[in-house]
Amino acid sequence: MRRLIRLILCFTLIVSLMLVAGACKRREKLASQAAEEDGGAPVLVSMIHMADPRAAVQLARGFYGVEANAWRWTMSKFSVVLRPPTGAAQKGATLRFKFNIPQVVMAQVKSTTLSASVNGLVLPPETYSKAGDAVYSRDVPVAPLSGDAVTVDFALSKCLPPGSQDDRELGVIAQMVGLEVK
Amino acid sequence: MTPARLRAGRTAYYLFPCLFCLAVYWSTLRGWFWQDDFAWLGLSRELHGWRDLFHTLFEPMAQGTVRVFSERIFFLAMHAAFGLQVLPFHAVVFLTQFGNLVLLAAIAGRLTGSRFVGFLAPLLWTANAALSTSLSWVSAYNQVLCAFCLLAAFYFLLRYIETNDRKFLLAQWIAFLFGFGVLETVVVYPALAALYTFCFARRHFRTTWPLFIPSVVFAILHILYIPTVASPVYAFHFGSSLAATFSQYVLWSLGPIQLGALLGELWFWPGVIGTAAIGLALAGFAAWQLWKRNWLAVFCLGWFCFLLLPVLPLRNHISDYYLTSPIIGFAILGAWAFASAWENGAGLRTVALLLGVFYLCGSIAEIRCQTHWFLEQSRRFQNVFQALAVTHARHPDNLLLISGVDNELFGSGFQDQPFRLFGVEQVYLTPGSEAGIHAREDLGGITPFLMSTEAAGRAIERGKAQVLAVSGNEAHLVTHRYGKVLSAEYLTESRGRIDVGNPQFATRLGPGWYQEENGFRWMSKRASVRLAGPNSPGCHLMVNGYAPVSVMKHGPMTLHIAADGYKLGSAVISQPDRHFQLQFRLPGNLIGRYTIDITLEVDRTRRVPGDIRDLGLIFGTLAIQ
Repeated sequence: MRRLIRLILCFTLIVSLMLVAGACKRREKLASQAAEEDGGAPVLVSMIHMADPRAAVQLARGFYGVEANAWRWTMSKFSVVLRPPTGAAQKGATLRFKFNIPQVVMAQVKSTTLSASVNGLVLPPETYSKAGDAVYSRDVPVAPLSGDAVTVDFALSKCLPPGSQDDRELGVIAQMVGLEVK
Repeated sequence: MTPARLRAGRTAYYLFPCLFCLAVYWSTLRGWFWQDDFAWLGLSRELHGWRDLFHTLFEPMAQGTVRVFSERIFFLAMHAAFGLQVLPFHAVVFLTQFGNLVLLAAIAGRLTGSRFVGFLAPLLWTANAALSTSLSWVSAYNQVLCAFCLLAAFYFLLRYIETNDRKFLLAQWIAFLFGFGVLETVVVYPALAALYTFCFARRHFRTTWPLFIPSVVFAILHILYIPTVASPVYAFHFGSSLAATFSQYVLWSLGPIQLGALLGELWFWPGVIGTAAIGLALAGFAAWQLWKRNWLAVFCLGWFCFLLLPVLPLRNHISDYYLTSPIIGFAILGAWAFASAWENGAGLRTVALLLGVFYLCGSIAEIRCQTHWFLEQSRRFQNVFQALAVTHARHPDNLLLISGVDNELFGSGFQDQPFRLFGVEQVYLTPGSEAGIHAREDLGGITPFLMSTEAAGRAIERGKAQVLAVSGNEAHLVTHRYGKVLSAEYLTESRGRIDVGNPQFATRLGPGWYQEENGFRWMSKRASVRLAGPNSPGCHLMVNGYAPVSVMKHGPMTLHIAADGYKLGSAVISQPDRHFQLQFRLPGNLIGRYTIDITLEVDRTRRVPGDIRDLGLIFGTLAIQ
């Protein structure tokens, strides 16, 4: 029995030492990652891809975590902050929101209306009654695009409430949102 | 066989289950701290001297528990020795579990008289997915250590019955009494000891009676001195829910019934049918043994039921780790059933083999899913924790804000005060990012993590806050960019209002303003600002300003105000060194305009000595109400 206990102790010690060595390497990596300052990239972007970690800060409200390294679920109300592209303050811009309404959502809500406003300027809404990929695209006049950052607020008329399958309120699957110069 | 070979065989017999355990749960060694771990790690902060020791060790905490050895001393000692290095904590957990496996092999072998059963029982126990939380989560060490106390006490009871040597009786008592500082479940051990001696060693039955005394005393002390837990999660429910809770635990114990939920719908029916088959086979085997008047089946089922009893009333807190000790009973029964089938013809052997392979493969698949999930969650939290710690070390006087925190990340430990471990009492969620997070109210809710948009903006602007954004498994410092985001949001929220002294509103200022000074701004003879048009009839423009005596020396000044070219009115400012508030009705034709230009003009300006500027009046806010 004593030999066995000694054996198990030695075994545990060796495994622990191996793992400590591995953990040390990992800590170095994490420390360098945390050391990254945002001073090198202080500018906001005009077009946000949902999986882009650098643009995540611009997803101001109403977005869940990134999934499949490509998209995010939204809540019924969600907002992004975008940098107006160069020339937008003179020519205006186009707001594009690329998203998907899954069948599971559409089967329950039947149809949903997406409305948007840019810096408080309300844009014409659009109603969707089919599941699948969709693009909400609207011209934005010059007036709200004068600053160096604009807030775009979206609202869905219907969404999936928290339920037994998922305890989150689910709107649409966002893929990309941004402003393009006209 | 030579003694050396015998020793090698015995060593392999006990060592193989340990290696199997290590192989199955290897990934858990890379997991980090999670949830309650941070509360226990923080214990050392409450310990300032010997006077605090009693309070730290014995005061009821966390649902009114006093687990001195498995939580208080374990975390205090390990944290003092290894800090936030999690590996030594896992090493202790695994070392204890190895002890459990050796004890179980010895016990199962003795109970059945079969070394094959003694070999199989630890493997079946290890492969049960109910162990995955206990072996992954450091705070669940109490379950592993409790199993050790129970197995050790029972092993010594068996040895006492075999040898009549009272040192084993003493050892049983020590293991049993130690268990009271480990987990409350140990109170039912006397029932197990009594059941076994009643069935198999009737002459020792009376020796188990004194064991009930500490259990009864513990129960009385618990009722008298442990405060009732207000949280509904830990509320006791007696009645019909007991049966439902018991059924749930039985299903989890028998086999990989959660395959569908963990691996996908395709595996739902295989998981259910396979688990049902295992359950039927075990029930049939137990019934057959009872018919043969072999009471070991009763003892195995009794082990499961007695150890589950204390947690059955917790219907709102059904957790797999509560099964850590109870399923030892099923593991012995299963191993015994397998060994019996193996020896009783090809048909039974084939059935046993099929069920055994399904149990092992299905359960290991479940374990991999669960341990992978735990690993991801804990390491994600570790990344955020370390990023915040590094940021705090660089900016020790700054507030810390974090965006992109989802419900799972928040639930991984935010409410367990983890950040005090690096000296920060509170970390804030960026305004608005709390939507979708379900904070536990019994732990204080979401409120302590909230900060208003205005307060956050002010702190960032003054260089008093640092902001991190979480995306996926990474956390990045984004203070400057977040400042821009917040400023844009704030401006959108307050389009009908402007604070000319706040630099955040600078983009809304027209010509005619001088530099901001301590929260206000001088106008020249004429200045303008942009506001949102009124959204309903009857709105007024409210103007707040100040008239310093330096510009009022030559008497009152007249201020004219217009909106998009429409004259709103004039006001005579006659009181020097006084704040003034003016109100002008807005015409209906401005309603709904996206922006309107408000123009302010004074009838004269003045220069003061040492200043080359032509000064009008000082302004603060203009707002449409």
